[in-house]
Amino acid sequence: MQRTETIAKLHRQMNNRDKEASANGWDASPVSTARLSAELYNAIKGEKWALAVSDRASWPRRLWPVTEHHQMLGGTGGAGVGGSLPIALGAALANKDQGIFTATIQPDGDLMYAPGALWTAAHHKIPLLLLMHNNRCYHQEIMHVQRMAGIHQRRQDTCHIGNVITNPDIDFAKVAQGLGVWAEGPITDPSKIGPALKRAVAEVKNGRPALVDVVTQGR
Amino acid sequence: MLKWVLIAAGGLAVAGGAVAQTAQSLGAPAGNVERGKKLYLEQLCYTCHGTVGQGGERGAGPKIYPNPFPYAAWVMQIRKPRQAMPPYTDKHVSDQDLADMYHYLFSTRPSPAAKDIPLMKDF
Repeated sequence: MQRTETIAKLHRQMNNRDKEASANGWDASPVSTARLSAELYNAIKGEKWALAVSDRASWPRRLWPVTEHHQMLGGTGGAGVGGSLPIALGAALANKDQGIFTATIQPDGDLMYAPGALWTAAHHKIPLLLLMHNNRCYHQEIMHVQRMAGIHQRRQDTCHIGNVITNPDIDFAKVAQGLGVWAEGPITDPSKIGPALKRAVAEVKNGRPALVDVVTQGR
Repeated sequence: MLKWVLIAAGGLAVAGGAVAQTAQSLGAPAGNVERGKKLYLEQLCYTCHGTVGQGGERGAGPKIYPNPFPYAAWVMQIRKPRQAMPPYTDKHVSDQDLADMYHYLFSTRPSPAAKDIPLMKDF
């Protein structure tokens, strides 16, 4: 009993620390990943939800109340890039018959490996809500190159070369619309995410995929 | 060494009472906010610490604002960092650059407390 109380107390303390941490940069633009995750939960909390790829942002695992086995479906394995979109489609297709609402936090670089999968979603009417985590770069790579530059006593201001996905910035809403998927964006004002997600949820509940493009912080 | 700088700064803060922090109150020389923002982004500080110093997740850096290190500790951490952060030596980033970036952080908009955010009631 005492051990239970101790663990419960530690869990509450951890939860409070995570909430305070997620409040940092709450109104920032680009949008914080904490804000992105909180807005998504608010949009789907009334559904029998599943987060198809649950390792692209840590906030869902840290804060969302997870009570069912189907709610967090894991990641690509080994942080593989390019797998998130097709994995999410497969999960959404499987969940469709179970009456489970499938959402995913979709990284931009990952989507660009096989963007044609969006056409597959539209063609087969796979109900999936894609919320873009559009940080406009292969962010893991930037941080790695920065660390290597530091080890070799090199400058930091060139580490973005070859790792950013800008110039031009990809308009993922147009990409998705061109492939037959309902989409809105790009959104840079965090206050606009909630209303866009509400419209996207309605689309998914009608049995179709929907994408909301949000420009986010790197991590 | 960094630990003692932080302890000394904490002591000064307690002795001075509850006063709103400014870059100058934490020991920074004069700095230019606009130049600091430009440098903070160019030097890719934001990739780990976020564009307003809020910190990152999944292997990125800690929050560095609000409640930043006192200026002396800030300089020490940047020049000779602990843990995984890459060093920024004076070969590539000058002392004035550091001061400007420090002033930039103090110019950013404060975040609300978690208890004041409606979406947080679900967690």
